[in-house]
Parts: sequence; C-alpha cells; structure tokens
Amino acid sequence: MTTKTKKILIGSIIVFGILGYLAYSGMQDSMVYYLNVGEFLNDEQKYKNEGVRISGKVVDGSVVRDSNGMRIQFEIMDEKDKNKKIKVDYSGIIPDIFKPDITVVVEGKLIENHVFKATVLLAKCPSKYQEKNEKGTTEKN
Amino acid sequence: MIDIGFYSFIVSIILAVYIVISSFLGSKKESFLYIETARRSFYVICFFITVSSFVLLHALVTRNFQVEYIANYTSRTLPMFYTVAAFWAGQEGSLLFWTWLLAIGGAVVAWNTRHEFTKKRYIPYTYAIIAITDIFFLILMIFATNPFKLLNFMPPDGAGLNPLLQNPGMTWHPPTLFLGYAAYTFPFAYAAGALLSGELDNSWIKDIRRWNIFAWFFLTIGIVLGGEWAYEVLGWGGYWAWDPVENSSFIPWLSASALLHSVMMQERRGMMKIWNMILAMITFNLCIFGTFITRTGFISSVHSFGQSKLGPFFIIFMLFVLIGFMILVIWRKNKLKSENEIESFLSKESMFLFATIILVCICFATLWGTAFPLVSELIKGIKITVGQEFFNRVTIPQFLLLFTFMGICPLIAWRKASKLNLQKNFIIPVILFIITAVVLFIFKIYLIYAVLAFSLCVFVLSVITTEFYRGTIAYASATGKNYFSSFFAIIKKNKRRYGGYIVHIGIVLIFFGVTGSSAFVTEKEVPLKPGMSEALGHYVLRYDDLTYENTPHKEIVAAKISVFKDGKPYKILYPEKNFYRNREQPATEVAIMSTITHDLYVILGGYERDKSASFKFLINPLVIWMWIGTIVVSIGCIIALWPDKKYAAA
Repeated sequence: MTTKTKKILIGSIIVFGILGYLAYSGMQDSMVYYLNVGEFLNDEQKYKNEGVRISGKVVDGSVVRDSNGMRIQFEIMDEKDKNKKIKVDYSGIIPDIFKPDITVVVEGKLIENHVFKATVLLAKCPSKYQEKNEKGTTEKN
Repeated sequence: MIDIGFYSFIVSIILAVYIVISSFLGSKKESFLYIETARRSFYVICFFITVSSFVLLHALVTRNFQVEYIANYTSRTLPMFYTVAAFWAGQEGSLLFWTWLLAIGGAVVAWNTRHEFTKKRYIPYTYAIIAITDIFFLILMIFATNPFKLLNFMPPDGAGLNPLLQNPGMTWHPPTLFLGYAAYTFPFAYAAGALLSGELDNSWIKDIRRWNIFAWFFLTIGIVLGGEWAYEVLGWGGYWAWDPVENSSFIPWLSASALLHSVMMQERRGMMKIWNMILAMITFNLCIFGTFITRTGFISSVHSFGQSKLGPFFIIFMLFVLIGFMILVIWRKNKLKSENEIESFLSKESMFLFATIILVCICFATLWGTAFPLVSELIKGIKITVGQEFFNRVTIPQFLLLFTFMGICPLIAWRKASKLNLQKNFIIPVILFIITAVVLFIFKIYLIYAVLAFSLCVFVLSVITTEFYRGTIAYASATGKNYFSSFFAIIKKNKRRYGGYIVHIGIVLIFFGVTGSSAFVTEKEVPLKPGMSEALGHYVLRYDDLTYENTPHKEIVAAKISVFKDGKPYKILYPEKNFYRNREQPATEVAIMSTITHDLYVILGGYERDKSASFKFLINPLVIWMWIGTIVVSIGCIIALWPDKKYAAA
C-alpha cells in the first residue's frame, strides 16, 4: 500500500466515522415508533414512557375545543377496530383540515389516566393534498 | 373528443417502440434511414402528446365533469386560472404533464442532433433510451392511471380544488419541479447512449452541459417555490420540515448538484468518468423516485404501496434503470478509466472531488432518513420514523464542510497549488472569516454552527468577489477598457464560469437566510381579547378587532393586529381564516411582514363569539434572503445558459 492510498484510507475512515456517528446519534435521538391505535394499545406498557406517533381516525362527537381555540381534546380510534380508542390532549395550532372522521397523526407520550399528550398534530397524510374521496373512487388510485 | 386524448397515447407508444427498435437496428446496420425515421418520430410523438394535453386542457376549461379527473379536481366556482392549473394538481394530470415535457424535450433533442447523429454513434442509442422513458410513462397512463377516464354519468359539479392548492406558489411549484425532473431524462439518456455505443470520450459530456444546468435550474426553483408555498399557505411558521415529499425533491437536487460539478473534472482533466455516468443515472432515477413519492404517498407505509396501482410499475422501472445501467458501466469499465490522477490534496481536482462526495453523502443520508420507516417496517415489522433532528444533525456539518470547499475551490489551482498561491489568495478571505466570527461572538452569538455558517458566507463571498475583481482588472489592463465594461466583458466571455459564481452567490444568500431563520426564531402562542397587547422582540402587537366579510366564494374572518415598533405605530396586519363555500374546512391565511432583517409572521389560531382569539407570533430572521438568493441563482443560471454568439448564428 502506498502512503497516498494509506492517507486516503485513513482520511475517509475518519470522515465516514464522524458521519456515521452523527447519523447514528441523530437517529437514536429522533427515532419514534409510528403505530396505529390498535398496535399501540396491544403493547401499551412497552410504549408507556416513549415518544410515539400514532395514526387514527378522529371519533365523531369526541372533539372538545378549549375556549381560546389553542387546546383541543378528542379521541382517535383504530381504522379497523372501532372499539380501540385513545384520548388525546393537544395544545397548539390546529391544522385547518382537522375535523371528525379524518385520519390524524399525533406525536407525544401517554400520561396518567390514559390520556395521550400530543405535541404534534398532523391531519391526514400531508403528502397527498388530494381532495376528499368522491364516491370512494380515486383516493388510493 | 375525449377519446382522442387516449388514442394519442396509443399512437405515441407505438411510435416510441418503433424508435427503440429502429435506432438499435439503424446503429447495427449503420442505416441512415432507420435512424432518421426514428429521429423524426420524436416530432410526431411530441405532436400527439401535445394533442392529448390540449384535450385535457379543453375538458378542464369547458368543465367537462364527466371526465373523472376533472370532476375530482375542479368545480364550477373554481376560478379559471386554477382550473387550468388543475392540469397538474392530481396524479393522472401531472403524469400527463411529465410526459408532455418529456415529449417536448425529445423533440428538442431530435432537432439539436439533426446534423450530428451520423457523426456521433451514441446518438441513436440516446434516442432509444428517451423512447424507453416515453414508453414507461405511456404505459402508466394507458394501463394504470388514465387521465381521460370517463364516469358513467355526468356529475352536476366537481369536487373542487383543495383550497391549500389555490395559491400562486402551488400553481408554479409542480410544473417547475416536473420540468426539472423531466429534463434529467436527457443527461441520463446521453450517458446510457454513450455506454451502449462505447463512444465514451467527452462528447456526451458536452452534449448534456445545457440540459444539466437547465434541469438543475428548474429543480432549484421548484424546491424553493414549494418551500415558499409551505411558508405562506400551510401556515405553521416555517418553510421546510424534512417531510418525505419535500425530501423527495431535495434528494435528486443533491445528486444533480454533484453531477453539475463532477462533469467539469472530466472536461478539464479526463477524470471521474465512471462517477459521472453513475451520477447521471442516479439523478434520473431519483427524479423518478421523487415523482413516485409525491404521486403515490408510498413512503407513508408499505401497505399504501400494496394499494397503489402505480407502485409496481415505478419499482420495476427504477430497478431496470439501476441494474441495466450498472451492467453497462461494468461492461464498459475499461473504456472509463481516468486519464489523470489527483496529484495533490491541495488542488482544484481534490476540492471538486470532496464537494461531490459530500453532496452525495447528504443525498444518501436524506434518502436514508426518508426511507427509514419503510426499511424498518420491512425488516422489523414495525414502523419507525426519524425526526427533523436526524436530518439537521447529519446534514448541517456536511453543508458547512461543503461551503468551505465552495470557498476554497475558485482560488485554488488545478493539479497542485503552491504555498505562495495559497497565501496570496486566501489571506484576505480568511481574515474576513475570522473577523466575522469574532464580531458574532462579541454580539453574544454562541451557537457554534450559526457562527461558522455566517463566517463561511463571508468567506465564500469574499473569494468570489476576489475572482470577479481579478478578472476585471486583468481584462481592463489587457484591453485598456474601463473597469465597468471589463466587468461585463469577462462575464460575457466566460458565461459558464461567471454564471456559476453568481449561482454560488445566490446559494450563499439562501444559506444565510436558512441559517438565520432556523437558528434564531422567536415564537409565542397567546390567547388575546380585543384591546390586549403582547410584546415580541422589538415589537408590541395589539389585537384590535375581529371582522367578518362575505364574498361569493368565501367568508373571511380577519383579525386586526396593530404592530408597534419602539412604541410607535408601525403597521397593521390582518391574519385571516377563510371559509370556502363548498368546503367544510377553513383555510388559514397568515399575515407576513417582511423586512430585510426579519419576517414578522402572525397566525390566527382560533377565535370565539366574544372575539377572544388565539394567535401564534413568530419572528423569523433573514427569511427574505432565501427569496433574494433564489433570484440571484436564477440570474446566474440564465447567464450560464445564455447561448454564445456563434451558436446562435449556426
């Protein structure tokens, strides 16, 4: 091995080592489980003190807005099993498209009394700014 | 009438298949006739896809709701401007739009190569590759997602366009992005053509030069417009959230930027030949990937992939491109040997190499983070997402490194830089870098990344200024012209080089804006009653009143916010919520006051009957520099793309 290739090798090991470390630590600190309501409730203990993302459908009639419009409480249910529900408490800007019966994604932690304290509330899949499902024909192409 | 649109696809796909067969046969038999008919077929395809596009446009304009696409994306009350823009609002239409751009590009290639295809052996193969891409998109529209699909009844009205999309930013964002995506077909096609023909000198690299800059230009504009739309319309206070859809446009941009630089290594020094090939392919494949993610929502879950009809088509095509291309590269590897080696660490070559490697690293880190939910679901059976923290932590140091190379590169010599050369060139920029850092520390800015970022901005700008200064002085003393005309003369004489520097200035300005607005945001969420005030930075914001207004399209609820600066009335802002007539959901309209140093950003969160309301106030520093930077980037690109006189005459 020539000194030049050695130099290049050592240099790239250092650089990729640092990058690898950054990537690894970044993942460790920002990784969250992405579950649906059913998956979460099946293994509630496991996720108790972990940050998780849960997707579910907003239960009709469960939405309670605080008087100043910044805090909201509602329930989300599993899309397949309507009996599986979680209470959610969220403070912050509420997305425009939020309303009963749409799919939302909440990120946060389960706190006492089975209330999920959400710090992030995303309405529907933000990647598809597509219109509501007209007669069930197009949404999932 | 509508059927014409669909039958045009059939004609086009037959022609595209003909091009593939005929160009291969023509190359093999060295038959002029075969290749010439293939070449001319591009004009015919372009004609027929244009016919299809006009059929869809006509149906949009005449509001023919029997066409499912039109019923899904427009309505009677939708303004005409947005009705036309609905062309690219949905999946079917945007794929047609892509195909249209591809067909136009194919015709442009056919025209550009009209005298050349007998001289350059790779041209017929390039035709075949373009035609294969045509075939892919036509198959999608013919078999999976036909934009001309009719409903078996005539609905009285359409569903309308999502109000979030009824915004100028969203109108121009998709077409510019698609233009960038589609244009990257051509560098790829030339690369694959060169591999197939075995004619692997620098000729193909020269042919893709313009396509490369052109595509990169539109990709850049497309991404920025998307960010601007998020900032003004989505109304959460920022412009970039490392969302899969955003990432999917940024990922090809990164590999495209790498390609843009590494081709220069091949032109100047005959190096990085395999690297250029692979970058051209990866960029094209990532553009397809970007189209795929945006149009199918694939990344949200493996399950959505199963439900999407398009998924398998895209996956097969991307694998075909990847594997087929790599086989060609391996087959031709003996002809792709580098003519030179890097002689010294301190040389332009190594700076270029490092810069492209970093761009590719950022590209793959972003891709990794974006695709991680899928990877984890496939491997562990459970979906795990990575947050913004991951992207920031991995990409920020790399961007800082990239900017360091961006600063060094212009002033360092090819082959091997001498110590004297380094001392002479870098003394002033380095001093300016240090001064900036010290000044920022004195002003108590201790965020190390931000300090480095701002200081690097100064460093890079001073290097580029030095380049312009020296070029001007040298030209002036050689020709005896004054400095002013010399300055323009050097740009005119070497458009690509100085255009490139201007692009760099623009990128620095964008970086400046991004740093300011991501590191120093001040925000507050407050409930207020009319008459109450809230202080934020130098401002006091007083909530005066809530007003209601009815228009035929919508009801507007607006809050009046009086802004006071240093105790004096400064400006009045009206953040709104709009309720469109045939919509259940409101649309938030944020109020933004832009100044040269910061944006004051006000969101009306909610309100009650008694007019008590909640607000989110943000001060986003330096945001305007991102938009200014983008304009500078555009100017640079246009200069780099501007034809030389001799070309224009030919």
